[in-house]
Parts: sequence; structure tokens; C-alpha cells
Amino acid sequence: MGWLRRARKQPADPHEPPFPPAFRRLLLEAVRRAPRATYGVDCAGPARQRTASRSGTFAGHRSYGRGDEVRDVDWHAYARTRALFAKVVEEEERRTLTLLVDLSPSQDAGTPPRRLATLRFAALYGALALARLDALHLVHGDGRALTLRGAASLEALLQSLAAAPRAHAPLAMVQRPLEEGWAGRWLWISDFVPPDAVAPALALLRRHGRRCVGILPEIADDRGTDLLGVVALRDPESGARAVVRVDRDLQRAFADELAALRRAQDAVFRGAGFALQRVPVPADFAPASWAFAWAPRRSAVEFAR
Amino acid sequence: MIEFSHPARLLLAPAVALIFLLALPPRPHREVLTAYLPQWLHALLRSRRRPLRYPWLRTLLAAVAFLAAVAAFAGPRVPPVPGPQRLRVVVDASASLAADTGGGSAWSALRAALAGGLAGLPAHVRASVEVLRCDRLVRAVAPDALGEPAHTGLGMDLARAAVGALPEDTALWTLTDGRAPVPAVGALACFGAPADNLALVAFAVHDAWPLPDVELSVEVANFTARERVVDVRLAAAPGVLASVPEPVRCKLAPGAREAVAFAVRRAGGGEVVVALPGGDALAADDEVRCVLPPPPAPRIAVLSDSDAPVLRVAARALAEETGGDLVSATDDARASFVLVEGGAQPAAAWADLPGLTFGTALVAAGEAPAPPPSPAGAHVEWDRTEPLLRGLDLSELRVARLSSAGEGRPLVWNGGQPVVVARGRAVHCAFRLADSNLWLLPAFPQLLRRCYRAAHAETARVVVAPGLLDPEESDLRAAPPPDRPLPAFGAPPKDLSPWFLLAALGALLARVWWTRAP
Repeated sequence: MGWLRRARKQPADPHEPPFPPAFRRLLLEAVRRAPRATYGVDCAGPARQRTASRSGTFAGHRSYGRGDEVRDVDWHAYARTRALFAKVVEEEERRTLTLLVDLSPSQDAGTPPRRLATLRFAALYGALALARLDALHLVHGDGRALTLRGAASLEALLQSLAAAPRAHAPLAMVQRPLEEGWAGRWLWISDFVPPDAVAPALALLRRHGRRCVGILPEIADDRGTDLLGVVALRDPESGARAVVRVDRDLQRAFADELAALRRAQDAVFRGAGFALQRVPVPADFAPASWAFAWAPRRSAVEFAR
Repeated sequence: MIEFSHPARLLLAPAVALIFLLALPPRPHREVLTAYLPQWLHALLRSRRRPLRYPWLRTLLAAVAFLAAVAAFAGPRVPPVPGPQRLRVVVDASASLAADTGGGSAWSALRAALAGGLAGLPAHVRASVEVLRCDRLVRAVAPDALGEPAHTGLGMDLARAAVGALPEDTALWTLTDGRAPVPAVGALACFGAPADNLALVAFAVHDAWPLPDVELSVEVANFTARERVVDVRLAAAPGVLASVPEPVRCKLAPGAREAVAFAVRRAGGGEVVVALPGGDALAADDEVRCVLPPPPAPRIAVLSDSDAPVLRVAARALAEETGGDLVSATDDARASFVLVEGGAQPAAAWADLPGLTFGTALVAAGEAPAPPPSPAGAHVEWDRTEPLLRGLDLSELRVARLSSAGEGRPLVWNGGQPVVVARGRAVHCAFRLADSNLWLLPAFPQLLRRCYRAAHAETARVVVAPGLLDPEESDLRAAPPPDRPLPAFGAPPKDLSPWFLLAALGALLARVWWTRAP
């Protein structure tokens, strides 16, 4: 089994296309097996009618009647009038997904590059949203946005992701969707390095009442390094280069620095009231390894609900 | 400009490339893209390490040290500059340098210029200062030890003394007032300016000692451009002269000289000053001093083996003329002058006798008595240059019988044989006074006085104080010749090897410091 393990751990080709046929098959299978949404995936157009909901902006009262849930009763009004009234709110949580994808040059780091994982995660989340939700707002790193609807837009999604610009401007990425008034769930896929760069954007989302989940494709290099000897390190973002002699002590010190970085990333999201999920990326990056375990099946259920 | 004594050794310099090659850092075996470069750098910082870079500064410092050492090995030096590297300073310290022509004396200006000139010399130039003073060229220890100008003239040729034995690599710098001929070579600095001056240019004393008569004569010169009337005065302390004469007024045309004489009589002896009124540019030539000897008080004794009165009369006349006494030869008081006639005396006891003997035989111990007198010839000859006999006429001297005059400096001859000799403080005549007609001659009293004066030459000497200048020194009317500047001095080659070694050491120290710097 050793040879099999070695074969599975074979590093992926850095120049591998992000969406090979095997991955596309995996994508379709994931869409097919995703849980059904309560509202159905084929509901055309946005649901703009007033409807009873547990959350939203308070719009008024109506007499409590059959079919209303008990939790919607306004007990304060009952105490004053001795009559049952149900609270009516305007729905804000629309059934859309705003997907922010960071494909900056720093995503080229890692073996295999984190960029592949980011693209594939974005494709998976986007495909699920196209299949189960009303719309998908895809926001690239330079702030350009694309709205897709329906499963038929899956190919357009993949093409857009493959041609995504190599940029990451956090504030620009959130300003356009906020100006458009896009509601619903927000997913932000990035390496969040440095963490302070996304803090203003997260704060802006919080001020506008949005809820965002950070997705960090976690590769092996995020936990430490196994490099030894004289190594040239190059930052793809800035182009800076440094030659270092790596030994065990430096490996430990570097691991400590990475741990501090993770704590800083968590602190930034925690400070904004959002969650940051680190999703491990298979080392071999083979489509077979992208088992449904990555998944975000639970996440799909969560945002499709 | 630098030159190398061993330029071939500079071929070692290209080896500096090895330093740059050896300093190359290890080549990384792989290059890794990372989003965590800041974290890497922080980890390095925590591990007290730095990224591997090419140590440009340290390599450069090592290269500089190597190149400096190679340059030092090649013998760098500043090439020599041709020219003299020693300076001979000749200072004219004659009396005319004391002349004050306005704004201080020329000597003060000379000393200031000398100090400034020596201070401005290049450090490698060795200077020697020689002062020409009182006919001598004296090496001065320091410019401050120059002293004051002499009270006399140079007394020697300044040009010849300055240029004489001048080495080839030595420059000459003459500092003078230009009154004497200046050297034709070398640098020249002249001090002073044309000025008017009245001077005493000659002085003579005619002392008739043991007589009291003294004549002092001076010569006054007018070194001005106009006619001057000047009073020449003679001064003495009380008791020196019998009477002080009145000043003598002279009217002098420009450049003229006039002799002035003072005839005085000695009273007690002492210093006498002949002076001009002064107030001119040079005070050193405005007076002249001399010390007159005191008048004698002779005690004259007579020894004679005959009763002839001639010698006794002569002794009495000499005593009266000079104010002395005639004492007995047997007196305990020591006689200051003895007149002896005849007899024989031991030579040892009379060797330094101040006196005059006539026909006295001086017999040494164990020597046979002198032979009896023999007839003398008719012809007498004498030394006319001898001070004792100068101006005396002895042509009429006749001697009847002669004996031996003995040892001594011959003064008078008779037939080629010395008949009068001077020995020590005494004069011996080889004849008795009675056997000659000397006592009848007019020269006899003078011969007596001169013999007395010769016997007391130390006492009778007139001491003239130095201070009489040459007329050229006193004549300040001429303008000094123009100055000539000092030449450009040469310089020896300067070895720069220590400086290059120091630079190499400094570069190495800087490299060590930079290596250990945090």
C-alpha cells in the first residue's frame, strides 16, 4: 500500500487546469446530491412578496390566525390589548449567495498552489448556489461582479473563475455588492494574508448587516515547512526575494509565526462577528480526493437553507 | 602625486578578485514561492539570523584592506621636490642696525622678520642662524638669543662671510641694513631707511704720561643733507682733569668732516667722554670714551759707585717733573724706578728691575766677572722705530769706553755692537754715564721719561672704550638695496607606506566592527 500512498501523495502539476474533466464530473455529482432546498431550486425570480418570517425589519401587526406560528405572536401587544397579534416583518434574507473570490498572486504559493483549491472551492460553492438558490453573485478580486442564475450558468461560472483577475482589493470587493443592495449569504474565499487587509471590509459588511463566512483553503504550507538547507524564498505578491538557511530551529520559529498568523486571522473575523473556516485541501489535489468529505455538504445545506 | 618605488609589486592587485569570489554566498538549491515571507523574516529575526546576502560592504572593506596592503608593499611615496633643503641665515649685527629711523629700530624689525621667516619655513627645512658681530661669525642658538647689535662696525666683509663655504643644497638668507656690501646671491632682507646722522668718526689720545698733559682729538662728520652746527663737548668726573674745557662749536657742510682737539691736564685720572649733542638716528656714534691713567708718583733711587753728580741730578729732575720723590737705595720703601751706574749686580735679582743702568755688569751665579771696558768706536746707530727712541736724536752720542751690554733687545749699536739693550722692564747701557756725553744730549730727559714709562707700561696705558664706528656705518643717507625673496625649497621624498598600512588596518577593523554589529 506504500506505493499507493505515495501515488496519492504525488504533488499535483502546478500547471494543471483548474477544472479538469474529472473535477467537472465531481462538480455535477455534487450538485446532483446536494440536499433540496425548501423553496425549490426552480423558483424563478426573486421572492419579493411579504411573508411571515422570523427575521427581518418589523412591518406591522395582523390578527393571529390559523397557520401562524406561536413564536410570531406579539406578546407585548397581547398584554396591552388582550388580543393576539402576529408580527409581520419584511424579508431581508433573500436566497442568494455572494461569492468573493481572492485570486491574488499570493495564491500561487504552496505545493500545489492554493489558487487551484480556491478556484475549485469557488466552483463547488457556486455550482451549489446556482442549483439551489435564486442567484449567485460572483465578485472577483478587483471588484468586478457577475450575477448568475440557474444551473445552466455553471459553465459561465467556471469560465469566469478561470479568467478571474489576479487581484485582491478587499474594500473594492465589498463596496460594489453593498451598493447594489445584494443580500443573502456571503462567502469569502481567500488566504487572508495579511489579516489586517480584510478587517476594514469585514467591518463594512457588519455595519450593513451582512453575514459573511470566510473560507480559507488550508494547504500543508500553512502549518509549517519541511524545507532544509539554503532556500530562496520569493513573495509572489511583492516579488521580494530572500535566501535563507533553514534548519530545525528556523522551522520551529516559522511554525510559531504561522500559528500567530492564524490567531490573527481568527481574531479579525471574530472581531467582525463572522466565522472563518479553514478547509483542508487534499495534498495530491486529485479529483478523487475531493471526496464529499471536503464538504461541505454541511455548508451547502447551511447556505441552501 | 604618488609614485611607487617597486611598481612591479602592484601586479598583485588583481588578486583582489579572489576576495569577491570567496565572499559569494551559497547558491540556494531551490526557490520557493511563499505568501509568508514576512513570517519567514520574523522567524529569522527571532533566531537572531539574517537572510543570506552578498556581503558587499564587508567584501569591499576586505578588498580595500588588500589593495592598501599591496600598495604599501609597492613602496608608495611622494616624489622629492628639487631645491635647497637647508637655510643659512646670516644676520648683520653691526652697530648701524641700532639706528632708529622711525617706528622702532632696524634691529627690532630684523628680529621680527627673522622669527616670522623661520616660522614660515617648511617643516623639513633645517635653518641655521649665524650672527656677524665684532669681526666674528657666531652661530646663534635661537632667534631670541640674538641679543643687541654690537657697538662696533662689522669689521669684515659681509658678502664674503655669508657666501663663503656655502653648501650646494643650502639657501642663503642675509638680513642686514645694507650699509655694507651685500652678497650677490641668496635671499636678502634689508631693514631701516635713509636717515640723517652726526657722528664721531675718529678719536685719538696723545698722553704725555708721566707728564700731566693729554690731548684728545676727535673727528666729527656730518652725514646729513644740510649744513649743521654742532657743539662737541668733553666731560669728565670731578678730579679727573685739572679743568674741563668749553665745548667746541663746529660748522659742518653736508658730508664734511672736521677735527676737534681738546688739550687738557690730568688731575687724578679716570674716564673722559667726548660727545655730540645726540638726538639723531644713531646714538652709538655720538660719543667716545677713554680712561686716562692716574698721574705717577715715582720713587726714584740712585745707585752709583762714583761720586759723579750727573746721575743724581737727572734723578732729581725726573722726580720733580713727575711729582715723585727721590728715595735712598737703602730705604726700606721699595723704589719704583732705579738709576744705576757702574758696579756689578746679580742678574737674577735684577731681571725685572724697573730702571736704567749705565755700565753695570749683571753677573750670573758662577760666572766670571765681566772683562774691563774697552774703547768704543765713533759711529752710533739706533733703532728709530723703537718707541723708546722714536724721535730722539742720538747722532751726537759719544762713548769713551764700552763694556758688555748683556742679553736683551738691542736699541743702540756702536760699531755694530749693542751698547743699549732693553731687558724686561729695564734698559741697560754698556757704558758709564760719565764715559759718554749722553747726559749732555737733549734726548736724555726724554729717554729718562720714556724708560720710566716703559717700566710702568701697564699703569700708563690709556684705555679707549670701543664704540667708534666706521664712517660707512655712520653714514645712513643711502637707501638699502631691494629685498630678494627666499627661494622655493625642495622637499625630500615622503614614504607613504605607513599610511597605506594604517588604511589597511582601519579597513580590517571596520570590517570586524561591521561583522559584529547587530
